[in-house]
Amino acid sequence: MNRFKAGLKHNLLILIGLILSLPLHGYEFKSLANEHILAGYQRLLETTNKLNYSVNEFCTKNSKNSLKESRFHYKEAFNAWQSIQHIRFGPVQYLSREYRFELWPDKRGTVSKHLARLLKEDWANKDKFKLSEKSVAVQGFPALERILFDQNLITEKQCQVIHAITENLSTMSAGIIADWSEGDTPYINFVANPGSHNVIFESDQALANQLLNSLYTQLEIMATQKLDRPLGKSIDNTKGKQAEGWRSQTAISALYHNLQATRQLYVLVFADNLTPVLEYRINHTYQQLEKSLSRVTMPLKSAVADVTQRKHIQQFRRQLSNLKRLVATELATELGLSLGFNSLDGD
Amino acid sequence: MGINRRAFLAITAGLLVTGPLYCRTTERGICFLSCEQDRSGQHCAYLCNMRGETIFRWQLPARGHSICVDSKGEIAAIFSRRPGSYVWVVDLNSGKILRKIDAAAGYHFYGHGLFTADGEYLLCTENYFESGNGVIGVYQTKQKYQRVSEIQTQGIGPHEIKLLNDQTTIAVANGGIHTHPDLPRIKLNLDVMRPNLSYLDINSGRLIEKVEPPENWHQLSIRHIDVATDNTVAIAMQYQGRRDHLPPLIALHQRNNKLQLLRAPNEIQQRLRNYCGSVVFNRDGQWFAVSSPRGGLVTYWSKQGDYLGFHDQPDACGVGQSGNGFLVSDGTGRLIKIDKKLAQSDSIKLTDRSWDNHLIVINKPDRISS
Repeated sequence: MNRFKAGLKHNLLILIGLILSLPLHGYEFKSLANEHILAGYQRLLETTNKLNYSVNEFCTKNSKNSLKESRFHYKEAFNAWQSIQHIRFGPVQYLSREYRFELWPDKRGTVSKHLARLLKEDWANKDKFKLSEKSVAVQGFPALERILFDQNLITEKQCQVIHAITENLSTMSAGIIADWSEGDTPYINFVANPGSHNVIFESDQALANQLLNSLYTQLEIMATQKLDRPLGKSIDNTKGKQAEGWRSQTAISALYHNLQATRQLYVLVFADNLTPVLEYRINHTYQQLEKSLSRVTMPLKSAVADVTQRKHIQQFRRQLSNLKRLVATELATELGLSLGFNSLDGD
Repeated sequence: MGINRRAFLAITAGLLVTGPLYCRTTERGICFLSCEQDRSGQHCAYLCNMRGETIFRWQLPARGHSICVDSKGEIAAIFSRRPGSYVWVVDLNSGKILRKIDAAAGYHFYGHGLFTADGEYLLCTENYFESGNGVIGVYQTKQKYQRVSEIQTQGIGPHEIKLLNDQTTIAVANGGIHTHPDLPRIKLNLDVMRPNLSYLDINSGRLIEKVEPPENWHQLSIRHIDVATDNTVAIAMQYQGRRDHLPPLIALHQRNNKLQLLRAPNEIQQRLRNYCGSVVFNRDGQWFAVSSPRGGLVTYWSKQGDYLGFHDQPDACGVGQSGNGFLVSDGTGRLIKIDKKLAQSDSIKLTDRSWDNHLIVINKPDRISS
C-alpha cells in the first residue's frame, strides 16, 4: 500500500513536472502579425503621409506656422518608426529600407557629409532628382531632421530635398506594407503560420527565436547605443550630441516608444507561455522602467549633464540591464529558446 | 638599442597573456585557435589544448574573425572582423605579439588571410573602399610585416583565401558585396552583385581562372572556401536575396570545370536558412563539413558532392579538422568532436565565452615529444 502510495506520489510529481515544463499556452502569432507588426507599419504610413503633405505645404507657403506643423508631423512619424524599429527582419530589410529610414548611429558623420554633397549638386532638370538613387544616408529621418530643425530659414533647394525625403519615407512605408500583405508570397503568411511547409519559419520555435532576438536586440541598442553613448563615462564627460535625434529633442520619446513596442511584442508572444513568477518579474521591471523614464523631463542631450536627471537616466539604464538579463537568460531558458551569437549577424 | 614604443607595448602586452601551460603529450601536441567574445563583451583570441585548457589568451582591441597559422605551426595571424582595422601576428611558442598590423589608409581588412608556404609573406584580404575593389595585401614577414604590394582579387568583397597544392596559386572567395565604412553594415550593390571564385598566381598576381554562380543566383555570396589535397575547392555561400528563395548554398569546383552546385534533402536545405558559415575538408580530403549557424546544424558532404548527413548544434560556426573528423565550436561555448561516422565522440563546454565564426586546429610537431 505504502509502495503504491509512493508510486502514486512519484507519478503525480512527474505529471506536475511535465505540466510545469510545457508551455502553458502555446504560441499564437496571428495577432502579433496583424495587431503589432502590420498595425505598426500602417501607423508609419499614415504619419509619413501626413508629414509629406505638411512639408509640401510648408515648402509652397514657407510660413513659420507651417514649419511648426511640419516639425510636429516629423515627430509623429519618427515616433511611429520607433514603435516598429525593433522588427529587423522581413520586408523592412528589402532594398536596405531600415537604413534608408534611419542611418543611426552615425559615427563617421556620414549624414552631414553626404547631405552637404547632395546640396552642392546641380539639378538643372528638376525631374532628374531621384532621392531613392542617392546615398542611403540622405534618405531618412536624420537628414530630414538636420534641415527641418537646424534653422528657421530653409532654402528652396533644401525644401526640394526634404520634400523628396518625406515622399520617399511614405513610399518606403507603402512598399513595406505591400511586401507584407500583397503579391504571390506576402510575408505575413510566413509569420502567421510557422510549420514544416513554411520556408522561412519551419516551426513555432524558429519564429519565437527570431522574435526573441528582435526583442533583445532592441533592448541592447537602447542600452548601449541610445543611452551609454550620450551618458559618456561620467557627468564631466557627457556626449549629449550622441543622443538619437538631439536636434528635434526626440531621444526620450524614442526610448518611450521602443519600450512600449518591445513590451507589446513580449505580451503578445511570450507572456502567456511563462511561469507566473517570471511573468510577474518582467512585467514589474517594465513598470519600473516606465516610471523612471517618466522622471526624465529634460531632453536627453541636456539631461545627461544634469545631476538629478542623470540619476533617473542611470536608474532607467540599470533597470534595462535587469530586463535584458531576464529576457536573455530566464525567458530564453524557460521557453527553450536561444539568442545566438554566430547566428545573429553573420560574416 | 632601438626598442620603439610600439615594440615595447607589444612585448609588454605579450607578457600579459596567460600561460605557458603546454599542450599535453597525450594530445600529441594538438591545439586549436579561435576568437571569442566573453560574457562581459570583451573579445579575445585563444590557443587551447583539446581539453579546452588555455595555453595563451590575447585580448583584442575589437572583435576578431579568423586565424591562420604558418606552415611550421609556430606563428599565427589573428584577423579582425570585417570591416577590420587590425591583424595581429603572434608567436605560438611564447605567446608574444610579434606585430600589430594596422589597415593601410583607405583600406580595411576582410577577416581572412594566409601565410605563403615558404613563410615569406602574409596575405590578407582587403577592401579598397573608395572603389570597392577587392585586393590582397601582401605583407613581408621578415620586414616587420610591411605591406609591400597588393594583388587585385578580380572581384568585390574578397573573404576567405586558400592555397592550392602547387603553393603558388590561391583560390579567392570574392563575396561580391560592396560595403563602405561610411555606411557600416549596408550592402551597397545587392541588385547588381556578381560574386566569383578566382584563382590567382601569387607571384605575378595574374588571374588564372574565374567562375561565377549562374545568373539567376547572382546574389549567392561566395564567402568561405577550403581546398582538398587534390585541389578540389569546397564552397560555402550566403544568399542575399529573399528568404523564401531556397538556392543551393554549397558548391564544389575543380579547375577548368563548371561550378557543381549541391543541395541537401529539402527539409535540411530549408533548415540552412540560406546561410553557411565555415567550410573545412577533413584530413584526407575525402569529405567536408559546412556549418550553418542560423539553422544550428552542420552538414557533411563527400568530395564528389554527395550529401552524407548532418549533426545538430545550435549556433555552430567554427569548424576545424580533428583526427579524420572535425571539431565544431559554437556560440554557447561548446566544442564537439565529430568522427568519420558522423558521430559525436567528445564534447566540452566553456560557459564563459561564445566561440566566434572560425576555428583552426593545429598540430605542433615540436610538442609531440614534450
